Amino acid sequence: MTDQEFRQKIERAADWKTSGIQENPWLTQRVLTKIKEGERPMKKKLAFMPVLVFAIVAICAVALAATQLGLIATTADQYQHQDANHAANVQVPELSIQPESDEAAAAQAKTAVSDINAEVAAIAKAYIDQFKTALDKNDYQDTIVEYEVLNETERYFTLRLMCYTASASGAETDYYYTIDLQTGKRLALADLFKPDSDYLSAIAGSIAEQMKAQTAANPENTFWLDDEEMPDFDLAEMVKDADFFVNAQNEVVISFDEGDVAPMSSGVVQFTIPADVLADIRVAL
Amino acid sequence: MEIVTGPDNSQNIEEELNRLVAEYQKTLLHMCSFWLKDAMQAEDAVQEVYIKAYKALPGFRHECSEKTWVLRIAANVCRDMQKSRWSRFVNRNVDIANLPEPAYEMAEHDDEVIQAIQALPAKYSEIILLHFWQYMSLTEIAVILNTSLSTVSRRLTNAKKRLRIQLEEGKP
Repeated sequence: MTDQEFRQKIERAADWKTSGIQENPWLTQRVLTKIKEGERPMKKKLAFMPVLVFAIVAICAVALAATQLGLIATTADQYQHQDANHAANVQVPELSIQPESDEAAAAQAKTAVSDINAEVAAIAKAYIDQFKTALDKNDYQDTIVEYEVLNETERYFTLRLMCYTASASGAETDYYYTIDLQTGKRLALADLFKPDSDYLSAIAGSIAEQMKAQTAANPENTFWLDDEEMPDFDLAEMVKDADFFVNAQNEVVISFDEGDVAPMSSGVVQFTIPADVLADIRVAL
Repeated sequence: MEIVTGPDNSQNIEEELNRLVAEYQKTLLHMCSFWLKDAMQAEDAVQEVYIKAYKALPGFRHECSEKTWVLRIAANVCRDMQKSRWSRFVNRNVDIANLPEPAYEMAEHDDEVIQAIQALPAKYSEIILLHFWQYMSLTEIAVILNTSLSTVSRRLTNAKKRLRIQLEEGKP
């Protein structure tokens, strides 16, 4: 077989195999929409930052009155860079205990606060290091690390760290850190439930229902659930690894990173578990 | 901290994006389908490639061809998608089952050629496809796969040898 025949065989076979693939005539519009969707919340968040400090103080004051433990998040460090090929905006938060806090509660929260501060700083440093490496190589890189306080209940203080990086591909990862304002301890998902309750299955069951409903409503909303290529996909195990927080209605919200339960293009995917699903196994507030 | 902001030329960039989509969407869909072995994921990947390309366009210095550039982004996007946590659950040594039915009848041995390419290790099949199907030079492939020219050259020699044996003698 000559080189020419070799090439022809490969070319013809590959052309045949991919001949059923259709181009998307709306791809440009979809890409522009995605880019605009990505830009919108960023702008909103940045504009929101100056008032965020006041919001935190106000919310913490409420928490302080009810629990005697007040927490505040401030920007401990930041890193910014922008040129034609690179953009970085990294805000590193630091939690601190309000001096007016009850002494015993503050002592209990000390460990949780210090652990969370160390973790957040390490994550931010990793993103900055990755960005600087790309800068040295002059590879395209876009990095954003921002934070906000989701202190939506009197019982829990939640810090959200949003990390986005784009080089050859973009990925968003969110981290949620919750401190129980009554105990001063860092909250684990299991702490929300009675001992020995099968909360993972209950949560996974509710999420599976929501996924099916979303797919039925719009077939473009796909999830790895029941994907025949993934017979070992275990939603309860994914819930165990996922981030979570408690919203203003005291509902548990599970947050999956990009690609964990749905295509990467779906971004971070969150599910709110209805209160009645978990009513029998939740620990009373 | 130095802040340098380029001129607002978003209109031009949108026009450029439109042209890049018209020119390379098909190529990207084809290569991503082979890399990911799944047409739906390939669509996601191609969308991601253009998002990255749009953002990187102002800084693209044309040190390589546009096709090389978009394929390099695509190779990285597909690699990242394969590395994501969910892909641990997927057996990637499968047939390209999730591609749409071909639009026309296959010629003799087309299916055998595809199977022989798929039977190669991924590092060989991608080079075969980029070189013989997408007409990319060894230098361009080195850029796309972010590896050295000597590695590409060595892999291509090995890949050709193994594929020839399979096609001519039906041996692995």
